[in-house]
Amino acid sequence: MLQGARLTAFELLMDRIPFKLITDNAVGFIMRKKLVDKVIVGADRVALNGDVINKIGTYMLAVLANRHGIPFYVAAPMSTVDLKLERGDDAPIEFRSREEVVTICGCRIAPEGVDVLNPAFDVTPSELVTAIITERGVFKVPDDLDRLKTARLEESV
Amino acid sequence: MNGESFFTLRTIKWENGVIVAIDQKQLPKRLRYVKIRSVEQLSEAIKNLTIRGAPAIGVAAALGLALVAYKSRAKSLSDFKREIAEAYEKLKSTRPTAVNLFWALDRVFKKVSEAKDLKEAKKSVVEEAKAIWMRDYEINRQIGEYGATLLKDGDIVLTHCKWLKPAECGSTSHYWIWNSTGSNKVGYSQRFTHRSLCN
Repeated sequence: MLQGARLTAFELLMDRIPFKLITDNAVGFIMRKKLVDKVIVGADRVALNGDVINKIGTYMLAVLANRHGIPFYVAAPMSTVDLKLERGDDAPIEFRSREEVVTICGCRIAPEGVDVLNPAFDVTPSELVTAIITERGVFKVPDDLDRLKTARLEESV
Repeated sequence: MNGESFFTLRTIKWENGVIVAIDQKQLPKRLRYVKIRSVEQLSEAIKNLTIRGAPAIGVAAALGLALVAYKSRAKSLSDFKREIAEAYEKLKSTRPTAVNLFWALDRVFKKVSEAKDLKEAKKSVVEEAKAIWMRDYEINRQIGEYGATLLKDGDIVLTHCKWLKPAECGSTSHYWIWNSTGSNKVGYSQRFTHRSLCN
């Protein structure tokens, strides 16, 4: 997928915002070097207990951020809060095709016949989440989770 | 590109009965829009990541139901309800994890069940879908403003998994942060001068 390289970098360049592109594997090293002040990720689903389902790799980032004492924020609209989901581990996680793993932009990088496991999302437990940023404000986890649920209930549907 | 800000681009647009979306699969090589005229085409675009990112998927799905309403030749309310229900099921089964998809579909679907006659049903489906689309812009701006309060001047922010913003805001989930480096495209942008790391 290479979203950081393909999409985020494209937009940051267009907006002339200073940034550096890093690999997923570089995160631990870079955090140890104190080169990161905050982590902000998106979300595909937020459970009522504050667990966060997001793009695969998010959980690894959250563990590392926690280890290094770096605040870990989740930015998402209220519609991402799932009122029917008590805990993140009960969310349906999409597994995608092997093609996405064995090829990059049409170029095959793995030998023929390899077996692939390709989860597209993971679950970050709420104890690793500092706060959830929504259009209704910033909700600290876990202190403001009740408020988050109330705010979500006020939205229609 | 021509130095044009991404802020002026729109990830998803509704143009008189056609969904126009940035083909995210082609980025960064080419910035192309695809025109989507049917629910089948839209389902495929969501599945194959032409349109991706939780809020964008939600907006697109809602507009998918608007597409049905816009084109429908149903003669009765019950025929129309059947058409919408069919499209609803199809779009619902595209991807399982992002809850925004189901949220947006349910919001539009509710309008059909509340409608008293065919005309009202068609109209309210299109209106509700467009409302979700338009509101998304404002939501992103608000998330941006609240998010900006958490940052200090000079902060380096690491991001993971961005989404292209639907609607006018046109950019990323964390646009305000990057924007706040002084690129000066929205009013609150000057407060911070930090950099980003993206992966």
